[in-house]
Amino acid sequence: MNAPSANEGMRIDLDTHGSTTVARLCGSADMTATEQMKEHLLSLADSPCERIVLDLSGLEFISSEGLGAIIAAHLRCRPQEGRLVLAAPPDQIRHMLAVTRLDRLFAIYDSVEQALRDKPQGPPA
Amino acid sequence: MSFDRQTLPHEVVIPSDLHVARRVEEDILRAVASVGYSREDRFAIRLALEEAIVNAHKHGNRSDPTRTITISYAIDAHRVIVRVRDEGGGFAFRTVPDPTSPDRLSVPSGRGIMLMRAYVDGIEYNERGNEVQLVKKNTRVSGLRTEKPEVHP
Repeated sequence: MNAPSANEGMRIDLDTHGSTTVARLCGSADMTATEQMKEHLLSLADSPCERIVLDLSGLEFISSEGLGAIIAAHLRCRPQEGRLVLAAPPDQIRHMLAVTRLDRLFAIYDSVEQALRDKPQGPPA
Repeated sequence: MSFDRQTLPHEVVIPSDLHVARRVEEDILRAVASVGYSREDRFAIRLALEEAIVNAHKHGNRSDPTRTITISYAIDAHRVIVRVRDEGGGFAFRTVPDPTSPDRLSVPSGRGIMLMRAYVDGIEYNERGNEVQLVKKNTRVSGLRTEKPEVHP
């Protein structure tokens, strides 16, 4: 991964694995990208897929607003707890999730493959 | 609480527009990279600056593009100082609720100030509450810890 950059934009790639949709977030979820990112994630939450895995491996940067977009999608998925999970966050993003204690709100997997293998479950205790 | 009003060598006044603000952010990050800050330090500076600018735009200026954001900064190999000022009436930053409390974990907003505090070495507001100063030391030069910021227990 390159050094943090503020000019690379944001992209979400979707892939279907059975009844699960994997959404790969790529680039920087920064001040100019989070509104559109939120719209996409809410639209995904409204889709009929049973489970959503957010692949964070391509995410170079995320602000508090970007975290808020993920939380908004999580709330939209309720009451189906555990429908939206996170996978493969880079070290700096994983650390942000710990600092904000969002690792207590979301199930976080080391890899997409691990998330796909695991059965749907609720958030961590 | 109010910070020392030393003059900083660079000052940019921009309309309250996040696309314009991002270009200033890019300029600052390029300057930071050019004087040898680590990847972790640059991530921290970017995050804190981003949060300060978004707060100024949304909460201070109410997303009004006729208002301005003033960004002033000093960058050297030892530390980065950035101030971000909006035209709002200020806010009571001491009363912002803790976003890590269990009853607020699923609230989508309200993490900006907490993240700034976690990722820089110093954060202060002026008396009015419409200007924030961020200080980040270069961990390569200062000999400070190079590991990431402390995580809540």
